[in-house]
Amino acid sequence: MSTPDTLTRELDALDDALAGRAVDPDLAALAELAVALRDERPSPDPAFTRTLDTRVERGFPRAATPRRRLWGVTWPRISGPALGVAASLLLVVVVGVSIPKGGDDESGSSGGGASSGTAATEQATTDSAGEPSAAARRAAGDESASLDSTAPTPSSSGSSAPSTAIAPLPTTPPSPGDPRADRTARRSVERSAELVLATSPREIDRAAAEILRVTDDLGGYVVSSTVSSNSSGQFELRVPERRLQAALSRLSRVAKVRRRTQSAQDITGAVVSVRERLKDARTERRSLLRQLAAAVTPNQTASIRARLRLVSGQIGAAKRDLSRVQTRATRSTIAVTLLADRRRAAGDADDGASGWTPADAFDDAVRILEVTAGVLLVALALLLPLGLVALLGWLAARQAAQRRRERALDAV
Amino acid sequence: MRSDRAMREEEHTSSVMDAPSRRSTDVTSTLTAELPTSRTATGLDFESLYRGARDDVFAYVATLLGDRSAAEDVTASAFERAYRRQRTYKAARGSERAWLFGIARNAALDELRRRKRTAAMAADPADVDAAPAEDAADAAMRRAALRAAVATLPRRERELIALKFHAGLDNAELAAVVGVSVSNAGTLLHRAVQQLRKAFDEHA
Repeated sequence: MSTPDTLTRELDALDDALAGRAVDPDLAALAELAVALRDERPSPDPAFTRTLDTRVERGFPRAATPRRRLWGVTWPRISGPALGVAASLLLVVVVGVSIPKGGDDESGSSGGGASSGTAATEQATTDSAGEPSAAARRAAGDESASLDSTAPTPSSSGSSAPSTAIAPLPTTPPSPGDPRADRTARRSVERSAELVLATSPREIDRAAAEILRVTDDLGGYVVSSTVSSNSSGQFELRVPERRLQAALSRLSRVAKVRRRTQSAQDITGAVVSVRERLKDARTERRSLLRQLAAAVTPNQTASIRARLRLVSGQIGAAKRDLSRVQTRATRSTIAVTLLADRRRAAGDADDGASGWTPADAFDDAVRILEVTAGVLLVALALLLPLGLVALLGWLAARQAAQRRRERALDAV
Repeated sequence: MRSDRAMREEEHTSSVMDAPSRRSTDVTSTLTAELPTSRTATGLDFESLYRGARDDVFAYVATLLGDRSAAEDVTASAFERAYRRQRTYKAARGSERAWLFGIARNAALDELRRRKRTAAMAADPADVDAAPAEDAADAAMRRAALRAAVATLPRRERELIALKFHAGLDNAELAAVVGVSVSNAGTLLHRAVQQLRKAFDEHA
């Protein structure tokens, strides 16, 4: 076993011998061996060196390989990386196309699916009494929702998006057979939407009439409406919840959509609370009626009758509350704001009501840029993980190849 | 008459190997025409590298494979790979020679894997240029013994001997090619020389 000093000394002696320098006498044999080894190195054949020199001079020209012909067509040579990139892009396109679109789709949206779950509730409340105003209804909803602190309230209200962007709804309908189906079917969700439409001033009246006609066609009704000719209009509509998407789709075609917002609020807690209140009141009334039957003195009878009147009042109030809160789930509110667009008016003066103005062109250009950016973002989101996986795979393959090479040195 | 660039290349080779630049002189004399300079954006002058390392690469590959014919193929393949990948050279990762010998090593190992047979130096035909007729008998015997000793070494040790004494790499370049630290390369080289001395004594 050599000591580190000996090792260093002998390695230095090897370098000295190869450099032609003198070495210590005790290392002369080692130096002689080093020189002999150097002199014994194989030399290439002159013919080979000439051939190789020529190839280097010419820059290692590639041998021309005939292109593949298949079905009479000469196919271009496609490299592996290019094929990988093409496959990734194809995947991005396929995934992009397969992503379901929200908004104008009347049958495939989550809102439409959820509405079917509350259809039974709607039928049960067809005898509902008067409709409260939108503000009062919202206030009541917030209050009643807070009664049941355990009930989830996945509200997404208030989110606004430019143009026709639609806020995502908080729940997705479970498939039939899903164990969540029963639980979700019993949930009550209040859905509402807000539309801001713009049209030329002289089209305001026509658009207002169209809004009323669409509401009527879909079985809805107008809670309130205010129209100023050639200026603006405000509508509060109520349509069956299951027809909300259809209504939004048709209303969006009445005029140019400036903003479209949808929101949903889980009001199951409020419904359950009112039902419990009604049930308790009815139970108390039955108890009082039994007590009344058993009463013997006039005082007892009068006292029980007084309490019965009180409980009956509570039952009536609970019924009204229940009807009100169930209506919120079965009827969706759409707030429509109709604005007069002066730029569109100028376009109308030039080439009619449906003219395509530079402002429209600008809007379309912005929209195209938005869509392009969205597609690029989706592509990036897909390609980044794919690229990372490919990189890791490439590194692993490279290491494996090197290990296989190294094993060739160990073979005898 | 050698160009200034060739002279500089000689100086570079000398400093790297700390040895007389016999190989560089030979290489330059075998070139029939001055190759155009094509220094890439990475700073690699392929032609200069080729001139300075052609015979060294061949010597290393021939010693490792023990087959001159295969060594010629692998040497040509290594230079072609290096030529096509010269843009991938990064000066920060090591010297040009270390990069080139890394490529040559991979090509040689690929050849070894492909052939699936043991390279035998004993089968190597005698080098005509290196064996002049007037050699004394004892010198010829010593050389034969040395060749036999090298041939009996395991491939890993034989590779180290080839890189150090036939390719003329210094210990730092040798370490970069084999993929170990410089101190570890020195230890491995010393062990290989010890084994060679032992084998040489047995064959002498």
